[in-house]
Amino acid sequence: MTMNGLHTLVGVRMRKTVIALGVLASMGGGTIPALVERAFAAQVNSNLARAKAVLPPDAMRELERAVDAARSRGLPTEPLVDKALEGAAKGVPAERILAVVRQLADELGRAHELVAGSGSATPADVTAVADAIRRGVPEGAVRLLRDGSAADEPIALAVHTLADLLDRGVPVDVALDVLGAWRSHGARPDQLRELPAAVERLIREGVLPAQAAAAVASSVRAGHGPGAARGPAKPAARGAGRGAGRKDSPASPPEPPHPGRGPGRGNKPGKPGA
Amino acid sequence: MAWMEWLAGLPPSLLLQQSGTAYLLVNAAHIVFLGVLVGSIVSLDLRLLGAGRSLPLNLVGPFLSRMAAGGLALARPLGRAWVETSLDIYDATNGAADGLYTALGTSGRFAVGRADLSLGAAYWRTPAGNELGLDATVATQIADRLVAYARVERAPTDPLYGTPRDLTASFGVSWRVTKKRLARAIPVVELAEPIGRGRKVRFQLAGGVADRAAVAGSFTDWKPRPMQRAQDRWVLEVVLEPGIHHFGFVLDDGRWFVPDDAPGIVDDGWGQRNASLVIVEGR
Repeated sequence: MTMNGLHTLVGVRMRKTVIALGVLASMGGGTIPALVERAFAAQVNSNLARAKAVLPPDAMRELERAVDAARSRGLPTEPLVDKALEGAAKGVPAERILAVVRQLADELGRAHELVAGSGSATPADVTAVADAIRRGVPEGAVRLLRDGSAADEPIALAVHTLADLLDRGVPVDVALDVLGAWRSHGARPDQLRELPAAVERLIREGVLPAQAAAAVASSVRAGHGPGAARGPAKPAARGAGRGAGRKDSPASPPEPPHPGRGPGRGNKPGKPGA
Repeated sequence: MAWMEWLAGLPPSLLLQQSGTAYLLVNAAHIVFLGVLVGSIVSLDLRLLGAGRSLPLNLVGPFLSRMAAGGLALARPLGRAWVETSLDIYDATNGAADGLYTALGTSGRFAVGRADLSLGAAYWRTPAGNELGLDATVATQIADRLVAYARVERAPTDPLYGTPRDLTASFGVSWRVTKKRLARAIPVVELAEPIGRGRKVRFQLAGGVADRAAVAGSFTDWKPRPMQRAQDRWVLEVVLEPGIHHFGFVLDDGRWFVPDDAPGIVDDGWGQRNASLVIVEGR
């Protein structure tokens, strides 16, 4: 066989291989999501079986109805069954369990609408967004987060982190700025987890939440990482012997003047004594 | 009572006594804010009890909660500011100027760029008369442990020590020499190494919290999984798959417990709370 003939043979074999691989890939492309969906369905069915063991029959029928309705809307159903199991484990009456399950279905529906714009949203993302809204994250903030997200960005973790920042008293716009800083510098998931902890550390040092978050954002933008953030000043301590952050006791008697005492005199503006 | 007489002598009180219009406006505002507070709370409670089910709780709940909070004057951190009011009353008896000292004060702390601004005012009623005290402090961090500050204070007359009313200004630099911290609390959740698609997670509680502890969550079908005692803490390691997981702790005789520093605290819908954790595939 000539070299050209060998090349031709190899080329044909490679083409056939590529075509075969392409066929397999397209089968897998359709098969794998179907397999995953079947796995989820199997999980849900397994949990439904467990729910059947702990819920009365009529409550179980209502739960199945809610699960079917959610499934028909393309919503994740595992959180609904999980919620029912949770309620049963906590000894909640069946009618209250169902009320919360229905409410959760509404929240998942709302969350699904919010993340539908980002093509790669998973059931976990929808559940995480529903959780975040329940924790007080405004829907507008979720939309802004979604609109700025990259294709492979973990939306669930990002929106969870946003909720963590708001829990610490950080205003929404500042919290979004922190996440924007994280995005603009690599968007590493492990660094995302560090953001609330870094803000919390500064708050414990006496920095106001907005300033703490702004300091963390600045540190991330400068490439130093969240842990290197330093907050701006606390008000200067008033008087020796008072620990930073310790509230001055309004019941303490007036103190005599003391040379060399720190800035300010006493606990309150114009408090008698120095 | 003497303190009530003192209140009655304050300028705002005198205005209310003398001006029918002012009294009308203040009373109306008081009634409106009470109505906002009580009305919001009652409406939210009725919705939680099941009335008006057609109203989505995730929409009306936050709105009514905020309305209630807005109807009540509170001292709370607002992210960019802290404002508080106080009423101090103490009885000084040292033979110099015995009597009742009362002060109605307000102070606020505000973030202004990278500086911190504190403002305070107090209206003092003392045996020697009534006076106003004021102070303002601005501080800014200039290095890791260095804070520069400037303060202006108008101090009232101090009859106890004979210091007259004066106005002072002070400037300086505060240097935090040491940076010792209290021992860190035991973290409730620690992420360990990735295992397959998921992640090993260590759940921990301080040992003194209970005689027996267990973790229950979406990953245990909400059945308590007992924790092991290790030195000063309760520990349980679990491999969690990617996704969002809700959990809490079950102590001793079945008491549901979620520490305040647990991650992602969320209402469970039945008046208790869960912690939550997000695991990202491979991270």
